[in-house]
Amino acid sequence: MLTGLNVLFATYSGPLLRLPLLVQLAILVGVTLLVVAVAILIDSPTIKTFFSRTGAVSWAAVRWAAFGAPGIAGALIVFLLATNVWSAVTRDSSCAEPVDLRVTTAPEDVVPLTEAARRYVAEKSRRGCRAASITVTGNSSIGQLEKGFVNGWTSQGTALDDSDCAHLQARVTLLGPQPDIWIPSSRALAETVQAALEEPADPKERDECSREAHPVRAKAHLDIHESIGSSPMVVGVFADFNRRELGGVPGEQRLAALLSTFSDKQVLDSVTRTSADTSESALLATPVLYQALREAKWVDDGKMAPERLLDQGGTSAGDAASLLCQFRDDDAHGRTPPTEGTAVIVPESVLARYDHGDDLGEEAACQGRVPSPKWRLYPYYTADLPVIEHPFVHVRWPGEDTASRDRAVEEFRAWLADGELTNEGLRTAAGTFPDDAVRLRGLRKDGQDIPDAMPPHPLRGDPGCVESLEQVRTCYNEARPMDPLTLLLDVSGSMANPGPKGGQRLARAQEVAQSVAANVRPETTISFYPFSTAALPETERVISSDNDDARENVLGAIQREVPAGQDLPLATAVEQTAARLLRGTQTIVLLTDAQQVNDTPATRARDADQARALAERLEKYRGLRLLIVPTGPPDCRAPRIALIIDAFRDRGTAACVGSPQDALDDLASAVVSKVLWG
Amino acid sequence: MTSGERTGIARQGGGRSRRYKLIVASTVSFVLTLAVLPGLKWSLSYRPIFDDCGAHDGLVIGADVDLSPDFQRRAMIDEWNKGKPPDRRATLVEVARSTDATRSQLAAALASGSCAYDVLLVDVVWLPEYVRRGFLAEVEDSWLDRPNDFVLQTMRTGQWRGRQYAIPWFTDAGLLYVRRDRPPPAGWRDLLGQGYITQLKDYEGLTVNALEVIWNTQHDPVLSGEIDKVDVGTARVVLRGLDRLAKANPRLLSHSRAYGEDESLQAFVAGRDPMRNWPYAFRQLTADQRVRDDFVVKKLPEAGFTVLGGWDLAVSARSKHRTEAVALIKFLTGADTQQKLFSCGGFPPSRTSAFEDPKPCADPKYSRDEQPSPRQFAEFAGVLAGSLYKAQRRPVTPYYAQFSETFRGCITQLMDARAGAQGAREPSAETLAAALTAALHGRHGSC
Repeated sequence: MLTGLNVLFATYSGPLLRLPLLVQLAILVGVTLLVVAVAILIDSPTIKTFFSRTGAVSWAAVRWAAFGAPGIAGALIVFLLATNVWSAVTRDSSCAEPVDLRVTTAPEDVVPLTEAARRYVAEKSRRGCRAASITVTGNSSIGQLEKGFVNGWTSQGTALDDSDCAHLQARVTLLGPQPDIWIPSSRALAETVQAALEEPADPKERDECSREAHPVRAKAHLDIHESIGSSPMVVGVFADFNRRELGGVPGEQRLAALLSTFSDKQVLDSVTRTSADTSESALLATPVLYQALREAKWVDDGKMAPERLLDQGGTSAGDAASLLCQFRDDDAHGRTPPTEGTAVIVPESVLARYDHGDDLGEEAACQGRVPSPKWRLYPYYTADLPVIEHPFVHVRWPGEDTASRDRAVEEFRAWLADGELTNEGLRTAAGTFPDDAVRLRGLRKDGQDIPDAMPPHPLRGDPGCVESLEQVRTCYNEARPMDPLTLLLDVSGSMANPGPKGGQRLARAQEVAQSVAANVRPETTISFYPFSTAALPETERVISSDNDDARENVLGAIQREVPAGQDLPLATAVEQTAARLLRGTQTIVLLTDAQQVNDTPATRARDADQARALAERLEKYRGLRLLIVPTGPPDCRAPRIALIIDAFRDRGTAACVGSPQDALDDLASAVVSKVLWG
Repeated sequence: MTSGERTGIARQGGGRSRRYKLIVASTVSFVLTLAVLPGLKWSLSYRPIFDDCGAHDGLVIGADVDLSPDFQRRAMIDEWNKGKPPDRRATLVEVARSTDATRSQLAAALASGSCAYDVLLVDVVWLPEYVRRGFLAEVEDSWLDRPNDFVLQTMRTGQWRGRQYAIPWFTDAGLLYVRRDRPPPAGWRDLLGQGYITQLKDYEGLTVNALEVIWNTQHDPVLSGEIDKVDVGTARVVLRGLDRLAKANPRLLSHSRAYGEDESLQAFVAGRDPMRNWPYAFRQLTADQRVRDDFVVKKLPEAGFTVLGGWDLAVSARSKHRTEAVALIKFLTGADTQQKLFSCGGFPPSRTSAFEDPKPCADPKYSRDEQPSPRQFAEFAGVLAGSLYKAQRRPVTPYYAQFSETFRGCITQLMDARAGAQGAREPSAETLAAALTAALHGRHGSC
């Protein structure tokens, strides 16, 4: 009996109670009617007696309830007074605290969502009081995102110990505020992450940490809802290469046909896509790009040929907004667009905001500015480039799952689902846009053909590459080389000093190194060496990995480094490292502040000699390339770096990449590009 | 007895019985309904997927990302953990670089009843909001080691309505950085006339800089301390101060409107103009080979009013490890720790003893030319201490975020109007007073 009651109570207080009230009532009424119907059909005297008694008792209860109506009314009044009116009377004239909502999305969607959130907060204010406060942050790495939801939104490299779930390291870095809302670029991505969060049926396979979870590393719970706005990926070309007549019926021809036409008419023969490691939209466009580049005969049938061509667009950017910020910056400095005819693959919404002169990000280069005529981008639509869906994902975290938070998230979702993002440059979930969507209408300037409807469709591209996100990623990874990579991190005392973008130089170097390690092909052999007078590469224990799981060790080792010892000459560090490497095609990435202690003509002459000697000695390491990444303050012109680059000039096997002022994702993407393709 | 009388008595009896039934039924119904309603309310209420508040072993500290030289904050936690068993160690959880993003995480977690965080690093402007929302445990006298050693101004940052809720860890005050070959500005007329590099981008830096200009040019620290109303007279003082800012050297003013702290620093390194910035810039400039000792640090001129910033440590009201949390805070705010955080981490200390006989970081991993000379560091410490004593709090209100946003909107309106921007209109004193008063009550206000 007790067991039965327990089961009944557990069922009712469990799944049933999570249903809406009307559904709960409907279920109860349905169950009652079912019991009555069964009883009638059985036609037993015992049941008839039972019903007759139950009827009499019910009737007596109704009569007594009628007598007790004043009491019921009184109790209701007292209850309402105690729970609502009293708190309203005692509240002061100030506003109640708004619910803090945290949103994460792709970097290129941060600004549109932030603007939409501001409008929402203003619209929903009651008597001037805000009901919610919304913070939107960008997630820059698809890999980080997946692991973040599984591990309490901690960043990769926090080096969680899976054998000791209850305790944390002395320091844990989050990817930002734990999101209540996640707006990914595709439903496939959301579903992939959701699947990763599910507990395996076999208890033996379950992650121990999910049961004995520390609050900071607990798993999230995801509810995937419908799309809140869409945006087709488009081919954007600068004004000098815009040939409207070549576009065909917008949105109906295939990408391969469009590219063929462009090259046949000698309009352009190069296309740029942002990093598919950090940009979800770029990753989704990858299968159809590979297929189109081959069919248009822009590349041969080699597996890596399309990726190599995509990388040779000459621009490295972490996401579409960042790419267009670089264009905007060039425009502001009076430079001209690339003359060789390059197209860019970006979401229509980002292109529309760029052309309209809206903000694209927080960096100075991203601030609002209408492009000059030559820098204006014109979109071309195809039937097979993906349409970014933007599903709304409600995220719940242990310890933060409350009714008010749930309600606030659902209200924001309902508002967004009403097509509000069309004000910010997106289309409706169905792919249309209203007449007052100024940014999208603005694309029709100069008579450009902009299709009224671009409904979302399944991914298209090479068969075997589009059925799931996993397939997309596998095809992308297989199209990239996996030559060994060695990360050489300067940990000398000078790296403890602040860098030009705020924060420690070592922290910047660590972030770049981690991002590079996370974004090369998973099977790549990665080795990591810190260097300073206290950490000589010739004697340090090497940390290496050659698969996705072991990579965590490398990321953790990078994260744990702290400055120690003094400057070790760069040439010495490289030489000691090279001596421990196996021969073959590979790259050493050296991250340093290039601090020059005792900078005198004599020390420079000595360093120059060392650099030349290094270049000669590395001759025997055929296929070894050296990339130097300055953390700042000085850039690639720093004497210590310039001497080495000079010494290798004739051989062409050393280069300096990036600038201390570059955004992290852009810099990491430039380094990865150099590592892969030279 | 007639049948009529009998019917009357029967009716009377029936009436009494009816009244009796009514009273009994109503009383029983009243009691039953009151007993059932909370249960009904409970049954209709939201059922969280996760019930646990986040109980854990050890301590968890919620903070922004440590950007200090040599990660001194993290080093302090390592120091604390030495020799402790795993279940008593502390973990520093760094949420984000942005203080707003950090606030949104901590506020969201604490407002939801989470007990995941034990110790909170609180920006001084958030404290009243945290206290009002019941996030912080009140500080007891026994939690403070040598309370008189704390700089009075910094100690007050942990108070709300006369009660102490947090203990100052490190503090902040505005300083003026001047190239050695340039004469320091004689006063604010000089500084604004020549122009200086500062932070006027639309973020908290704009609020801070505008307040400093208003306070110093009007010799009146208005919009400071615990206030819940701005009158028209105060608004006039504010507008006069903003008028001085809007008439500053246009070349530098227009540049500064795009600058935050880091952009200001880059502009200072690249040029010769003076710069207003926080104390962290001192360490950054001395470590930059392009600058090293080619600058001096000064207090802001004349009255020298500056905005008091900084971060306090508090115990979460929901922590299940209060005793350990208090011990950790005592360790982190102790005199020795403060000294080390100042010399090696560049954190301006909140204890007066840390300013006595200050010495640069003695860590052997730094070469001599990366560190300030002892004389340079002592001068810096002296200027910083002097600035701290003149530092004023921003409005102390649970609605600081709303105040700052509204204030910045009004400043931007005024500056845009002066710059001739289309549609921009200078706010009147009445409009400004109304907007700021609304904001101090958490209401949306605009100029």
